[in-house]
This record gives sequence, structure tokens and C-alpha cells, in this order.
Amino acid sequence: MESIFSGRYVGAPLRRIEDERLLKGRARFIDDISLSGMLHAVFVRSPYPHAIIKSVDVSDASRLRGVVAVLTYRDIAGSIKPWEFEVPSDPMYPLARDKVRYYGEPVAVVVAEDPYLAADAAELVSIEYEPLEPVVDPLEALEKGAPRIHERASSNAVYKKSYKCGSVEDAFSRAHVVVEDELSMERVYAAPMEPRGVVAHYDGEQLTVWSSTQTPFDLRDAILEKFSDPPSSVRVIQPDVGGAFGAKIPTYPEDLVVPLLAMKLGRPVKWYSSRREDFVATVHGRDVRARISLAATRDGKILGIRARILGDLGAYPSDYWLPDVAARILTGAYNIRNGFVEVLGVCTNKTPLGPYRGAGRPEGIFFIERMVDLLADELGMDPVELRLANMVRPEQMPYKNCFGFRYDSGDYPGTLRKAVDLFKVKDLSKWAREERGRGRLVGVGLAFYVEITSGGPFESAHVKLEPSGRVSIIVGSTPTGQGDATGFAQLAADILGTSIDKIEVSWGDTGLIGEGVGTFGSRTMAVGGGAVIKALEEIIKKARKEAAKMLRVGEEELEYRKGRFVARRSPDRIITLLDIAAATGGLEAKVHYDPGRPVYPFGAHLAIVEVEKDTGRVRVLGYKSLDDVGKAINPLLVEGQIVGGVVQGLGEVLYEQIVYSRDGALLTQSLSDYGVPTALDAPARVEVHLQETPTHHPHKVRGVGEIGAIAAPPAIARAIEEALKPLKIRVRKTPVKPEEIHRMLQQAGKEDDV
Amino acid sequence: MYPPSFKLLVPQSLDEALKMLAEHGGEAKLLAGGHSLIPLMKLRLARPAYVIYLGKLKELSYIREEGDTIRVGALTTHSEIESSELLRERCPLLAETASKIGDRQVRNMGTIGGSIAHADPAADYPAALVALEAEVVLKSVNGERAVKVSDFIKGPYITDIDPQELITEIRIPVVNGAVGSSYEKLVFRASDFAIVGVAALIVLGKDGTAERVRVGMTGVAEGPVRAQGVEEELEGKKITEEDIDKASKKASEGLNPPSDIRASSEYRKAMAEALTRRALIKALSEAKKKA
Repeated sequence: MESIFSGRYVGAPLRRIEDERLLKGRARFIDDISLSGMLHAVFVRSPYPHAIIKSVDVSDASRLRGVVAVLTYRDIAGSIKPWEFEVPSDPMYPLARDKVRYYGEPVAVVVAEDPYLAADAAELVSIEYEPLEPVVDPLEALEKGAPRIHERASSNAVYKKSYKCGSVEDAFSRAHVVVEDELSMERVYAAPMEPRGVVAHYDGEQLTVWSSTQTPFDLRDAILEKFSDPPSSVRVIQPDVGGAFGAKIPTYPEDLVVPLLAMKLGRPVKWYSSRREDFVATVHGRDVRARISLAATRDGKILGIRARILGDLGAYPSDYWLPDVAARILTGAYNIRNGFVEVLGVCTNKTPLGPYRGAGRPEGIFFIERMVDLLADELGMDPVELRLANMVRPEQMPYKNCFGFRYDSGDYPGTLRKAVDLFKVKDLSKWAREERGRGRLVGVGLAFYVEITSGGPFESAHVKLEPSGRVSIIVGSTPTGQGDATGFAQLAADILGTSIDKIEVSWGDTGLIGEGVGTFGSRTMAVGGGAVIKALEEIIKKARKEAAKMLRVGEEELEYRKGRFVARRSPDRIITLLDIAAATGGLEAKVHYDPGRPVYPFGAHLAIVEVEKDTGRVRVLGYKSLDDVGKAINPLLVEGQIVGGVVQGLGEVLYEQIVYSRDGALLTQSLSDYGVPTALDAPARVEVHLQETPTHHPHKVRGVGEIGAIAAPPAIARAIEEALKPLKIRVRKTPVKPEEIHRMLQQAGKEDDV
Repeated sequence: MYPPSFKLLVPQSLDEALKMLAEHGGEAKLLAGGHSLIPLMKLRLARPAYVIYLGKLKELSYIREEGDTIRVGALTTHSEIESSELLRERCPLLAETASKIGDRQVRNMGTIGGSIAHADPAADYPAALVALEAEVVLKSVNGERAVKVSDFIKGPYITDIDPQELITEIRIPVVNGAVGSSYEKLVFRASDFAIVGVAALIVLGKDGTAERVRVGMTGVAEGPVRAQGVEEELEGKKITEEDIDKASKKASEGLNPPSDIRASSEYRKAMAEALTRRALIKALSEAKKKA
């Protein structure tokens, strides 16, 4: 097949084909779904973070007019199997059985004719609890005598693992310099514009479920697997999704309870979360802390790394692997050959931890980049020089890092040098120094990252070329607002030599395509796009056979180019794909694409910040990025992903933090208490530069969805430290709030006076 | 979040509204822009049996100057106040304060009467209104009374309003001469409620002496407060920047601000000083331009 990179669409910054219906209000989000006879569910949630359920009395609630059912664990016990996790822990029941383990855990569900009545009835459900002592701090959860969250686990540290390479003892004994610090990324909430919601309808044979999810196939499988009496057919539909960021990967209790209610009651049922509810009922992210030491020679060669990574998994260890990812990416872009990292996953009485944009890589990269900056300061070296001196070199690729990740390709030092030029780092640093001389607290910070994408088993695609020339693409990946359909259409239009207007892309319906995986880990354009290409290749292969017959030449005689086959030795023998489709009644292909191994995006980001001396407020004045994204199928979409990720990263460093009281109540339960950044908090412009080192995917894509959220925190953290020079202030955790900066400034001021 | 059921009443005139209040006062809540009441109802923290919607009372939406008083109708929106030529000319402090409330959508819906009645301890207007020595006019079927804003707001969400009363107007004494003012608001993220807000007003005499200095603060106490120590320190002086540096330190005198997840008491005190300084410097420079 000819190169897919010679057409007019791939590589062009096209506007999204998805947008017209979104902008014209024709989108259909979960709360837009309304079925005849539909009932409304409201979940009754625990006001205690840790308690025994003594009794539940639903009689008052049930008596309210318009209430159709009030169910507790006992009513569904035989119908849905609980979640059993891979690490020692008690099961998680879809409605709590005899114990609640976090504030907001669902205990009962009320179903009524309208949501107002359901909410009224929910207030009347009377639950008697015997409160248990909660533990919200993971370090306290590790102490002897701490309240035990899971009876089946011997301690709250339900997950332990370690990785090592080389000889870390030897490295530390040889070192001239050892730097050590404690770092953390606090707990955050993904805050998609659309909270979660589920609608279910059962017609006696088929159960149809609409869920605001990233993984409709997982949900279908969960229903089939966990329902003790599953329906003969299950179809899960992902409607338009208003953002997800990883938090809509898990299958949640509501995803199973609402369909069960529809089956039991014989009427459609809807549950749509409020923002307050979403704050407790949807997984939180990050909440990983680390104690790290780096060993180095006095001229800046990093000899070894030692770390203990501790993840607060919350009440149920469904995603215990998150701190593991942080641990394994911990050497970042650097060639560190001696290392030991111990990973601990600890349960506490908080909403379960789950994936959030980057899922472990933002934490690991924040940790190593902060440590490298610390080492540079300790050695009095330029942080860029220190990075260059320690980076994995291109000739070492593919490179297996200390903790087992195999970086596929790329010139890290070359990319950093290029970034320093493109970003004009020297000029900027000079400017910042001069401004600081005039009393303005401005600083420039740079960070370099490597991260992993294209995970998950495979992705599917089903492509049809209709006799009319229209092309239908059904994909197993399930974008939630990123614009991937436009990218898929660009690939197809170029490969088929047709206009993008002829192409229609559908996704998110297990009834349209039987097997698929979903959207997460920056895999949609990489793995999902790979599947689209493989299906198109399959179609061209089929067409070639037909063309050979129709033109009466050998298949190998035919050259395919931009939608037509031409016989090499008799160029007048030409037939178009369209003719073949018309003659054969259409061509189609269903494929799975398995990339076999992940790929690793990398790049450098730079932030320019100003700190207000009298308040400690930080403003990001400017931001620049150079990312190796592999082939950019649509640079406009790539830019959108990078900018969006950067702003989320900015929110994480400056504003966002999930806060629990010591007695386990969630204090940040609204968007006025929890600081999602707005457009006004972002720099006016993010200067995006792309670099396109090819990968092993057929379209050479690397994946871009998470890089902004990974790179921004260490870049902004460093810029803050630079702005506060010559004070030796360290940013050890996210978020770093104005009050803390103000306090550090005051303390530093006092010390200066002394 | 769904509120419990309530009965909606829609009066067509002020008199009708007052009669409804006379009848249902204790069980009723007044709905103007809805930015405070509706969230409270959705959280089921407010559970009124009756909601009296004031949107039809166009007679309560006005800004005018009469004699030595500026009168602002209770249903005037923040964006109307922000963009009023009269206020920008005659009472820029109120217009500036309104322009810093929430975001555009909030300013288009929210009203000054609703904001004062709600008395959120982090609301912006009260800082400016105590600095301006404004009054709130309250009406009921039994008559009308005027109360100073500083007396009207008793504490967080607590005011001196009778269940049968309705705020009809805010009255602001006109300040003439070489006047400068500024409202400084500290937020971490755009559109948030103030952590601390400080309104400053300086009137300079012919010889450049500060005849009057007023500093109103929000977010630092149970309600709005004046920084009288600062005012006394500066009044009667030909103020310099050094004077302001020194005087601002008195802004937190006697304060014991609340600590919450947004900020500690100690930080709020420090910010009261920092913002007072900023507001006074701007106010002074404005006043000097007019002197």
C-alpha cells in the first residue's frame, strides 16, 4: 500500500467533524435520554466514612406516593455478585452489605416516578449506623492499631511490591552526593463537565444500558458476568460523553444496580449524578507520595535511585496498580542503572482511587523531575546540563529502564537541546533574572518527561465501503470528546482517496461492533487508529482481488493509488475503488489490531510564572511545549489535547485538592470549594511545538492525550522555585497554595532579617 | 440535587409582594437572581413552603441620584451596576465592586438586594457599602425603615430583616470633591468568592490633606467591618506611600477571621493588611488625579 502520508488530509489541522452536532445542540448526553415510562433512581449514601450498618428501615420511604421501590443490599443480594479484588480485601457490594468504608458509599436506592419524589423519599430512608473509627491519612493507616478497613487483609497495606536493578547499595556508597526528599501529589477529582449517569431499559429479552462511560464493552461483560440471572442479550451504548479523563473507565455500582432495577421493575430507569454526588461516587486520582534519594557523582552523573512510593487507594483497592506505574516510570528519561523502589498501596476510608489523566505517570515524572532539579541545585549545576548528562541516548534505544519499562525510540538529549533553542530558554532566563532584580518575582521552569501509551489488549474496527461511495467506520475505541472521529476520517479519506465528507464514524455501541476495548491511556488514535488502518488495508486487499479479475491482470500487476488501481504495464487499465464497490455490492472488513507493545511519548515543557509577593498567588504567564507525538494525524487536535492537559496540570499544581476532614467527611464537594481552573486562569497562549519521530504503529502515532497533564506540574513547580530565588524554597507537593508560598516568603524574610 | 416541593408566588407589584410576605413571611423566601437561594434549596438547606418570585417588580430596578443620595433599587443586577454611567461617575467604588463579583453569568442574574439579604460572609458588596456608609431600605405592609449596612448585617447569613420585610433600596451618600476609591479582591481562581476583599475610599481636601479615609473589609469577620485603626491613622495627613505601609498593618487589628479549607485565619489577617495597602495606594492615586 502506498504511504498514508501523501494525501491531503493526514497531517492537516482540520476542524472537527464532530462539532456541528455538538454546537447545534443535537448531542445526546446521558441526561438527554428520556424513555417512555421511565423511573428515576436516587442512591442513599453513607454519611459515615466507616461504620457498621445496624438496620435499614425503608417503610416511610416506600409509603410515599410515587415511590415504586426502595432497595437495599438484601433485595439484590442474590442478583449481583460483589466485586472481588486481586489483592487481599473484603468484597465491594453494589449496595453496602453490613459495613460502609467511605463517606458516600451507596447503601440503598430509591426509585420513583420523578427525581424530586425520589429525592424526597431518599430522605425518609432510615439507616442506623454504628460508627467505627475512620482513618483518612495513609501514614496513620499504616500504624499499628490503626482502624482496619478490610477484615480479610492482614493490614491496610494491601499491596506491596518492589522493583530493582543493578546494585543500589554500591551506587550509594560510591556517591559523592546524595539528595533526599519527600514529595507528593495530593488527591484530585477528574471533574468532567458531565458527571456520571446510567439509563437502562429491558424489553423482556434485551437489556439496553446507556452509560456515561469510557468502556462500554467492559460494562456489558460485567453485567453478563455479575448478574446471577443475566438477560439473553445485553447492549451497552455510550451516548455523547462530556469528558471522562479516566474516571469513567471503571464499572461502578450504579452501572449494575440501575440495569438490575430496570429488569426487576419492568420499566426504564435513569440515574444521573449531581455534581456533589459525583465528588464522592466517582473515583479520585493521584494521592501518591514518595520518599526518594538520588546518588550522584560531584560532576553530575546519577548513579542510583532509591524510593518508597505510597499510594492511598481509598476504601477499595480496585486500581491498586496506579502507584506501580509511578514507580516503574520513576527513572524518567534518565539512564539510571542502579535502583530500588518499594511500592505500597494503602487502604483508607475515602472514595476509591482510580485512573485520572496520566494514571501514575504524572506522579512518577513529578517525582524524578523534582529530584533532578534538587540535585542540580545541590551540585550548583544548570538543570538542563544535568539532564543532558544523564539522559538515555538515542543509540541505546530501545531502552529497558531500571524498573522494566522498554522505551521504544527517540532522541531525548537532542529533543531537550532543541527545546532549549525553540523556547529561547537563555533569553527567558536572562529576562527573569533582570525582572527579579527589579523586584518582580518571575521564574522560568523546565521539565522533561517520558511516558507510556498504547496499552490495553487490542482495538477493533469495522469499515464498509458502500456501493454509493459512502464509507462507514465503526470503531471499538470510545472517544469522550477528543475529536478522534475526525482523525479516523482523515486516515480513511487519504487511504481510500476520497473526500472526508463521504466518511461517517460511529462508536460506543456494543450493538454496532461486538468486541472493542475503549478509550484510555492515550490509545485511541494510536491503537484505535491502527485498527482503522488495518481494516482499510483489508478492504484494499479485497478490492485488489476484484480489480485483478475485472481488469484481467495479475494482482501483483496492480498499483494502488489514491482510490484507484492501475496496471503497471498498461496504464490505461484503471479501475476505481468506487467502481469495484458498485460492482461487488460494497466491500467491508472487520479487524482487530494489536500493537504488541506500548510506545513512549517524550518531550520538554516550559512554564513562566509570576508570584505575587504580598499574597503568594501564582499566575502562569506563559507556557511552551515540545512534544514528540509521532505522526500528528491532525495537529489541531493534538494541540487541543496538549493545551487541555497543560491546563489540568496547572489546576493540579495551583488549585485542585480533594480535602477530607480528620473524621472522614469530604469537605470539597462543590466546584466552588474544589478549584478546577477556568480559561481565565490559563496562560493566554500555549506555544505548542511538535516533533514526529515515528513509532511501530502503521500511522506512526505516539499518543498525546495525557502528556500535558504529565509535563505541566514539574515545569510549573520549577518555575515557582525560580521565581522565588534567591530564597531556597522547594515545591514538594501539589497543589502549592498561595498561603503556603506566602508563609514560606514570610519565613524566608524573617531569616533574612536575622 | 432536587429541592423539596414549594409553592411559587409571582406578585405583579411591590404592594402585592408585601401582602404575600405579611401572610407567609415566616414560611416564605424571596427569589430575585436566585444565585444563593436556588443552590441552598437544591441542597435542601433552605426548605421554604413558599417562594415569592420578584422578577416582575421592575419598579425595584433603578439607579438614580436624588439630592445628596444615590439610590439603587434592590433588583438592580450586578451587571447594571457595573456598567452604570451614573455610578461610574458618581460612585465608582460600587461599580468596580460589582464588576468583580463572580462571572458574567452571575452578574447578569444576581441582584444587589439579593446579595445583601443573603449576607454571605465572603460577599463583595458589603465591603464597599460599609466604606460608603450606605443604608438599606426595608419595607413591609407596616411601613418603611432605613438601616446602616454595618448594622444590618449581623453575622454570616444573618441580617436584621423581619420575615415580613423586603429590601427595596440601597442608599449611598454622595461623596464630592477629590475622591479616590478602589476595591481589591483576593481570589485564587477566577470567578471565586473573595478570600478577602477590601474597599478603600479617600477624600482629599484642597491642600491635599486626607479629609476622609474609609476602609471596608469582607471575608475577615462574621460580617463586613471597617478598619477604623487604619482610617484614624491616615485621616488629617498628607498621605504618603510610607504612611499607607504603616497604616495597613492596623487593618487586622482586633480581627479574628475564620479558618476554613480555603484559607487560615492567620493568612486572612495578613491578606487584610496586604489588600488594604493595595486598595489605599490605588485610591490615593485616583484622589490625587482629581485634586
